Parts: sequence; C-alpha cells; structure tokens
Amino acid sequence: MGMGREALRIALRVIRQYPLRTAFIVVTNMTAVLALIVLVVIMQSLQAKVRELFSSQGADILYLTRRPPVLRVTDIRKYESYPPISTAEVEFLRRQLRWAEAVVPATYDPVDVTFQGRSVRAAVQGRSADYLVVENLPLYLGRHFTPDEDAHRRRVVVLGWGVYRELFQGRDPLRQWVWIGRQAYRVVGVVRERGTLLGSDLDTVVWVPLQAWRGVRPDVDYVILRPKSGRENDLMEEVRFWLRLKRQLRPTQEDNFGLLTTEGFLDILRNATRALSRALIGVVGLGVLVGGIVLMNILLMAVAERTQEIGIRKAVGAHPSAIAAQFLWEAIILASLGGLAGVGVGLGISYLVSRALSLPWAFPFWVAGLGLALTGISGVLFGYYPARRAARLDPVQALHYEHG
Amino acid sequence: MGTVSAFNLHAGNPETAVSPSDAGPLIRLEGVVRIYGSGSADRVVALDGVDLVIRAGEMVAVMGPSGSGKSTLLHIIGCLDRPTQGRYFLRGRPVEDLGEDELARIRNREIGFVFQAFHLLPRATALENVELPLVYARVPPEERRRRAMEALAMVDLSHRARHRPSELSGGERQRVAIARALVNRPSVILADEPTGNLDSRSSDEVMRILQDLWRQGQTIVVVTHERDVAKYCQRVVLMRDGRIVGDIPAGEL
Ligand SMILES: Nc1ncnc2c1ncn2[C@@H]1O[C@H](COP(=O)(O)OP(=O)(O)O)[C@@H](O)[C@H]1O
Ligand SMILES: [Mg+2]
Repeated sequence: MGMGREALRIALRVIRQYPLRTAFIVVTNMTAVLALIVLVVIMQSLQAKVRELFSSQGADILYLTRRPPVLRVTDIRKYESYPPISTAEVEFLRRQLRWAEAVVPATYDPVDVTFQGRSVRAAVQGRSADYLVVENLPLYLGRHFTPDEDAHRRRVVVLGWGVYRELFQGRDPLRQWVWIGRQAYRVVGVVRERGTLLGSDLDTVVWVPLQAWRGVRPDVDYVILRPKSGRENDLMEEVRFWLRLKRQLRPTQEDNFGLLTTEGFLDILRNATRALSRALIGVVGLGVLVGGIVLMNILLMAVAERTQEIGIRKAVGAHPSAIAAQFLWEAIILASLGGLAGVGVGLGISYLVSRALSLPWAFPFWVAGLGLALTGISGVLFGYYPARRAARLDPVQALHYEHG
Repeated sequence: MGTVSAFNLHAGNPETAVSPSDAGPLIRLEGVVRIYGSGSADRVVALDGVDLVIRAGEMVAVMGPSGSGKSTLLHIIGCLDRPTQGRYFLRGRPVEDLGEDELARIRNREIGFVFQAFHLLPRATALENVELPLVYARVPPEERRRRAMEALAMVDLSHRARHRPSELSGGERQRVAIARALVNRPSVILADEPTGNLDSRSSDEVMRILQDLWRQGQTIVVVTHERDVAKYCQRVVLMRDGRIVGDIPAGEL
C-alpha cells in the first residue's frame, strides 16, 4: 500500500465509479493530443518533403521570380505592376554574377500536349540546357536535351511520368512527335515518377529547350540559380544588386521582383498553414480545458464522497500534503490516460496518412512526450483545487461527514 | 487475549517512549474552552474551562451525559481540534504553537484514535488498515507488514488479516481499529465510546484488550457513558455541560 500504488488503485476505482466522465476526459484529452500531433506531423512532413525536394538538387537553390510570394491580399495589386523578367536581364545577370554556379531561366505555361488524338494539359517547363545543374530529374527512358539542341532551337521534349503514361500508355515514346500547343516536338526522354507536392502534380509536366520555346514566350517566369558552395547569401545580394541596377531602381524603391530561398519557401508554407495551425492549437487548448473542467468535477465529487476517508487518514497522521498528493496523482493519471490514447492513435493515424499521401513518415517522438506532458500538467492544474480542498478538510468534521 | 503480553509496547521507539522518570504529566489542559459557531444564534460552548492532567501510564474514563463535551475534549487531546481558549501541553510542549507538520506528526506518532463508528477504510483489508499509520510514518513496506501483523496478533486477529471490514463482526472491526491505534506505539490511545456499537460480549473483549495494553504501560483515555466500561479504568473524570464536575478513582463509582 505504498502511496504511488495507492493513488493508482484509487484512480482505477474512480474510473470504475464514473465511467462516462472518465471516458469524456479521455476523449477530450485524446483529441487535444491528437490535434497537437497532427499539427506537428503536418508541419514536419511538409518541411521534410520540401527539404527533400530542394536538397535533391544538391545545393540550396535560389529562385528569382517576377513577383514575390503573395502573403496579403493587398500584395496582389501591388505586384501586378512588376515587369516580367526579360531575356536581356537574364543575359545581363549571367555575365555579372560571380557566385552563381548556374543561371537557368525558366518558363511555365499550362498547355495541352497531344499524341494521336490523346491530349493532356501539362505544365510546360522551358529551360536552358544546364537545367540539370539546378534540378534533379532522374530519367526513366532516353535522355535529356543537350546544349546543342537548345542552341539550335531544336524542338525536342522530355516527358514527365504522368504525361508519358497518359499519352503512350506503356508504348515506346522515344522519337515520337507530340503536339505542344501548335508546335510539334520530338520525345527524347521520360523522367521517373516524382509524386506530388502540396497537392500539385509533379508528373504532369514536360520540359522543352527554352530557345525553341522562345517562339512562344519572349520573357521568362523565373530564374533558377545555383550558388557556388556556401555562397547562397552572397549570390542573393549580388542578384539584388545587379537587377536593381539594371532596372534603375532608386534606393527608396522596393525590389520589383521576388527572391526566394528554401527557407523563404518554408516560411511561405508556414504562413499558408497558419490558419490550420491556429485551428489545431485551438482544438488543443479547448480539449485540455474541457477535459480539465470535467476532471475537476470528478475529483470534487470524489473528495466529497471520500470525505470520511480523508478524515480517517488525517486522524492517523496523514500530512495535508500527502492527502493533496493522493488527489493530484489521481488527476495526473486520469488526465494522462487521454494523453496516452492520443499518442497511440496519433502514431497510427500519422503513419496511415503519411502512407496515403506518400509523405515520408516523420513521427516526432518528442511530440508524444509533449502531449503526455501537456495532459499531465493539465492534471496538475485542474487537480490542484480539489486536492487543496481535500488537504484542507477539518479532520473532525470530515470524520463525522455522512455522504449523501 | 493471552497474546498481548508477548509484545513490549515501547521497545525500540525512544522518541515516544514514556519512562517513569519523565518529569511532567503527559497531558495537561489549562482552562480549555471550545466554542462552536460564531454568531449568537449558533454559538455552542462545548468546553467551558477544562483543567485536566493525565500522567503517563494512567487509564482514564471520561464519563458524562450526551452533549457534555466528551468527544470535543478527546479531539482536542488528540490534536484533531484546537481549543478556542486555554492551553494544552502535550509532554510539556504547548500544542497551540505547533504547525501543520508537527500536528500531523503528533497524530501519527503520539496519538492512537479509536472511534465508536470504527472508521476503517472499507476497501482496505484489516492488515492494510493497520498499516495506514505506518505508511504516513514512512516505514518501509516489509517492516510495515511485520509490525502491522504484530499489532493484529495483539488483538487476536492474525487470522483475519486479509479480510475487509465488511467481512468482520463489529467486535472484530473495533479490534482492528485498536491494532491500528497501537501500531505506531503512541504515547496515548484515545477511545471515543469504543463499545458504543458493540454487544456486551464484544464490549468486554474490547475493554479487556485496552486494559491489557494499559497493564503493559500504555496510557489510555476512554470516553463512555457506560458504568460497566468505566470500571475497566483506574480513574474516572465526570463531565457536564462542558465542565469537569468530578475526578474519582474508578472504585468509587
Ligand atoms: N461541529 C460542531 N458544531 C456545532 N456544535 C457542535 C459541534 N460538535 C459538537 N457540538 C456541540 O458541542 C456540544 C458537545 O458535543 P460533544 O463533544 O460531541 O459531546 P459528547 O461527546 O459528550 O456527546 C454539544 O452540544 C454538541 O451539539
Ligand atoms: Mg461524543
């Protein structure tokens, strides 16, 4: 009958005595911990995915974009006036930049790609021929296009996995001609399956040499830059400096272009998921609060019901702190049941979800600890008042108390 | 109850051992007043200036009609309650000045309570009930078990150690309560109408156990309004309306 085991025994008694309320506490605390886990798992999986994507390029890549990412609605109008990035500007940067390993101008156009009557709307990616320095695109079939083909405006195309599957359905695509809009391109390669990122399909894509695509687009949407090793910040400064110079911006004027790093991209993601985070944090708080109030209610009933027992314990010399500890332990055990359940269910769900979305399963075990700590602490907080009440009972009155 | 003599009550607990050489009395009350309620309507003077001295080794009966303040007196002696006025010295130390730590320690080590309604924990076994004071005295489990079994043997209930109170007769329950009261070798056992809920045979049993304990040197105070119970004692204190109105040897009853 040690005091810890005693508390455990009493807690189990409470569970049997108030099964519905206990179930309620378990559910609310479980929900809270689940929300916490979901929150952290989503954030971490996103981060892991993005990092995987970026780091598969082998370096920290820098994006120069026509417009900075939209963070506020008012940004949309402001950014409308920003000029496109011209071919001349790209050439200028190519000449000036000292810290760039590669400068790859890129276009993006959603266009129908057609082969023998089958058609699919794909993201057409115009690239200069050194695109493999900044992108990691392992091949399934054939080859990538060459600098020579780019320079001679050859109309060749590398298909993404999804386009290949839709249009060719297992047949050999190499040397076949496909229509991209109104131009015919010859297939030279197929990239392996890449999956999705944040709901956007990375496989319904084709890559074409930018020089050939210039007939369609004179400007570029963005420029992918790869810094020399460890020179990411230098490169960023450099790009800003030269492009502002080229565009003759005065010092008081803002950049009229966007510069984005892996970190910046993650920031944007975090921004985008902020509403979700807030909602989840709300669920965490609410779950703990509601569970805690019911917990307090159960414990107050238990104190009333066990008043005589408390009197007996005091009469044989229990220190008030020992009485308080008994109820606090009960509170912690009851509250932690939900935490445990939440961790268990959270583990399971996060595993299933990450499999379903083919995200890497990045279950952070510290969150399990955090969830348990959270519910345990809520037990202490909401158990405090009943425990104090029990500890302060007058022994004589408690002994003669008859529980109705 | 032949097992009682096998146990030397005060061996190995010098802290609470009461030797004859102790100069002062074990318990001394001076002008103790206990008033319940505060308004004039609900104000009850339960004790109205009680002076009382109890020496170590005495067995005292406190007698008086219902409502005369016997229980209140016992609660104050047992540090479950505090006087509204007056002073209480336990082994020469004024109890008024003591903090919660010290009071809990006194209830645990110095006092053994026995109540009319037994007040055992219903879900704990007899053994666990007897162990309870030792739990709060932080006695390690094996020693706790051993001492609790010893105490149960003293009240002749070794064979009932694993039973819950609901499985015991009234007399057996009160003997468990006595075992619990003596397990920590207290300076004094305070029994508030210990036979009030018992038939006459069980009452005799319980009183004989208390008397045997007294013979071994245990100080005992028994509250009762039964003459037959008081006869087991050595000295009788008579109460009425919160005052002590007589203090006589039991033989004079
Ligand atoms: N908690 C209390 N609140 C108010 N009055 C009380 C309380 N306890 C006892 N009393 C009153 O104090 C007086 C003495 O009670 P008590 O000490 O229990 O007497 P006894 O044990 O001799 O029957 C009685 O009048 C009783 O009604
Ligand atoms: Mg009484």
